[in-house]
Amino acid sequence: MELVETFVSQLVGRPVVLASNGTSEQIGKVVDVAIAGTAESFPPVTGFYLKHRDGSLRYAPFSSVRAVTEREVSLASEPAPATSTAEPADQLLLAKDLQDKQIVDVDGRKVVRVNDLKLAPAGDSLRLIACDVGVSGIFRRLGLKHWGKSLLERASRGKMGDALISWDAVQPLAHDVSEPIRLRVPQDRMERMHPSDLAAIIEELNAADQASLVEGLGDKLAAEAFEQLEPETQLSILEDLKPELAADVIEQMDPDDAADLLAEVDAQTQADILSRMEPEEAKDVRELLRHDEATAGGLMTTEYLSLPPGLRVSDAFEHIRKSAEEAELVYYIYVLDAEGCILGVLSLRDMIRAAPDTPIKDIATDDVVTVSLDASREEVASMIARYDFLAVPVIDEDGRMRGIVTVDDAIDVLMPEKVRKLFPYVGRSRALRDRAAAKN
Amino acid sequence: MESAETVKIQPTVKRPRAWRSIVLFLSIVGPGFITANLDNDAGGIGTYSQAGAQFGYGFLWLLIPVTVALIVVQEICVRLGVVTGKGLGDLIREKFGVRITLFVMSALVLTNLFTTVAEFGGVAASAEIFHIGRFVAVPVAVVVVALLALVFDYKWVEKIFISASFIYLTYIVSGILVHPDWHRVALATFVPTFSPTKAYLLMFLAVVGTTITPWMQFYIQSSVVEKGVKPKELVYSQVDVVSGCLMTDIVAYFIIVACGATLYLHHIYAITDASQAALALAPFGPRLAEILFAVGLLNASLFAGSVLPLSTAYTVCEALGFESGVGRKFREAPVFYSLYVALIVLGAGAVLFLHVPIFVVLVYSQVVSGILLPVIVVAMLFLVNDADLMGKYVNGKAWNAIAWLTAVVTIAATAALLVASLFGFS
Repeated sequence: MELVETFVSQLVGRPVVLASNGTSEQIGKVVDVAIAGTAESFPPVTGFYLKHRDGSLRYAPFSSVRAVTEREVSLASEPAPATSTAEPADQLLLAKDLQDKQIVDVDGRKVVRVNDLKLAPAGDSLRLIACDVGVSGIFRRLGLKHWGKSLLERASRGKMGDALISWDAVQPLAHDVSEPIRLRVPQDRMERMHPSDLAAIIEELNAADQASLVEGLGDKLAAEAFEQLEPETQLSILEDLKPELAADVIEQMDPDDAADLLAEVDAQTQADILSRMEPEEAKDVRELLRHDEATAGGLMTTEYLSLPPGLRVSDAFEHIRKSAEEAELVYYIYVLDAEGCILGVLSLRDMIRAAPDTPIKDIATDDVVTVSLDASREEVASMIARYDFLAVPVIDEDGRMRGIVTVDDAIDVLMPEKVRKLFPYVGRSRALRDRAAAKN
Repeated sequence: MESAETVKIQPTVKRPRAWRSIVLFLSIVGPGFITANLDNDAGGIGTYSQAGAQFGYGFLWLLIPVTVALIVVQEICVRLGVVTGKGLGDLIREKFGVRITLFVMSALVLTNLFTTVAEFGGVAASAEIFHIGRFVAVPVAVVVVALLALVFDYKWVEKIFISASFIYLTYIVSGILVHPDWHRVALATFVPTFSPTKAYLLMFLAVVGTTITPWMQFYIQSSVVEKGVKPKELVYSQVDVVSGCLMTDIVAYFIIVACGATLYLHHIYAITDASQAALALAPFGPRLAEILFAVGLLNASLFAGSVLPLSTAYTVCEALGFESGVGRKFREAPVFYSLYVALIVLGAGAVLFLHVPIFVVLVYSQVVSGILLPVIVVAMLFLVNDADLMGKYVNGKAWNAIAWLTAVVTIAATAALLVASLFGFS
């Protein structure tokens, strides 16, 4: 079988001939190219759609193709009319579904638009190997490839070549309103990306694509990327996610961030998500949701380290080892009595410096600064600032410890948002600036 | 162990949560309001003023059908944006491919270039009232506009300009205080008049072009996409659009009335400078009228000048796949910045170095918008009627009829203008 390297833009419109018994006559023109969507890194062409000279749309499976040359596509048998039952369900159409659409360039960590697609022969099959996202792709689509190339070469002194991205480093996006599962391409390429890069890409996408992209990721990666997103984006996506996945994602977040987010969704969705979460996690989040976000109760997290007073330092380390993974802050350890009231606090540094068999009550300070659940955010923040704490414990009317407010949450309160937003590009890192700019 | 001492903080009153839903509503309502204010830019004020001066109340009737058309066209863009979550440029690219996108983008850049010239023209005209020469005013405006676009956060910029836009209410006040013959005004509003002259056709296209500005359709769609409005919230955006359009066209109406009752009746049929145009606000007293007019025009010009070139650069780059974004360096997004700079430089340069009367420029720039409007409207119609794209949100028959009619009438007017120019009907 004779096959040549070609671009989809050049293939569309190419004459289709029927070659039988030594003669060949043109029967139509190529309208689209179908590939097998799932599984393979470089999917093979499964067939061609052509507009027959009698006006009908026909489908020629690849098995009936004798040759694909620069001038024509040659078939061995007359193609049948195109019907939806004749074609495989996971098929992708290159011109209709992929060209001009946005895709994720996994290695380049950004969203790009497909200007053209490159097919290359591999044995007896023609495979999709790359997409062209550069300017030369646009020139080729306009049919100005030769002029364009020489112009570009002169303009950039030969630096601008074809901007081809290998197909196995690319993630197409599903976006049709009416057929959301039509694009069945594996999402595993995204697994290679770092969560914050993923988050930056998600921010760049349209609302419709954001949710479907998150849905395609594995639970863990989805949660990690989700955490890095701006709160508005999180909210927007959360409303579109299936409740099961939403629950999984929320579970992975720190309870205080989860509570802040859930506080913004409508009551129905909130109840739905909470009911699908692990009971322990849901309990923590529900607890935090009960408090007004403008108070210490709304700012705090329930993930802190606490110990009973009777331990020795070496035993205390054992206790901490078990809960260190979950805790928001490991540096302060709170000593609580049987009812949960604070007896004292010690720092990790104190524990490390002490001899292993010292009882912790000898190391802990009993002069503990606390705030009550309904203290205002500003008061909590200024307290943290005044005493230079990493965190301050929150207690209820009965004196029981309910959570801690950490310094990072306090900073958000202290920094006047209006000033921060007035100059969004000054003093920020590039990634944040790009994200902010992408929103405009 | 002693029980711990605690430092107790006094509890504060909890904030009510009712205000949150109001804020939510206000945060969705917005794009229509803002776009409406952008609609009355320098080209708008100039065109409506000239329409009133040259034709008296003759164009009042047009405002009603044009407002209906504007509501339909903007609602289509808002619906496209809300349902697909994508900007108009993206949709055009994804449905029509590279060639048509290039064609549409060229048309857009052309009309936006002319409009940019108009904005800087507006700056120069308003500066005249304060006796500041254009060679000082325009370069300063370039710096201001570039700073606002590239350095400051857009939302803050928006707020400042919107609040200043309330100056347009002066036209409504003036239109009433000037005691026009309301009988004649009412007649002109509901009874169409038409003269097949070149001047009339030019003004027709200008009024259509400045009210249904092509770039604003791209802009409003991007705004709702950026706000992340969901399909179930569509009705809020629709209300927003309708109220915005009504507001802007009420102001336009009163600009025409005020100019018709002052300039036209005093036989000033062609506005040559800003102080003449300011006569429309005569009831405020000569000096105050000039100041109000100048401030209003300056506000409009600077606002649109900050938004329009940037929005154009974004739209073109996103549709054609070039890197864009003010957070990036020039090297990283060369096409984006070059396009932006080119629009500003050419726009300002034209005002400074071409000796065309400003108020002529203001009107003619909108004629270009009117001529190229059908290109955008037709593209929109194909998109919004595509069931694959819009699902159940495709256009209804009435909407299609109005939009197609708008495109057809505008094309017909353009053709008539061409005929009139070639065969010399003045």
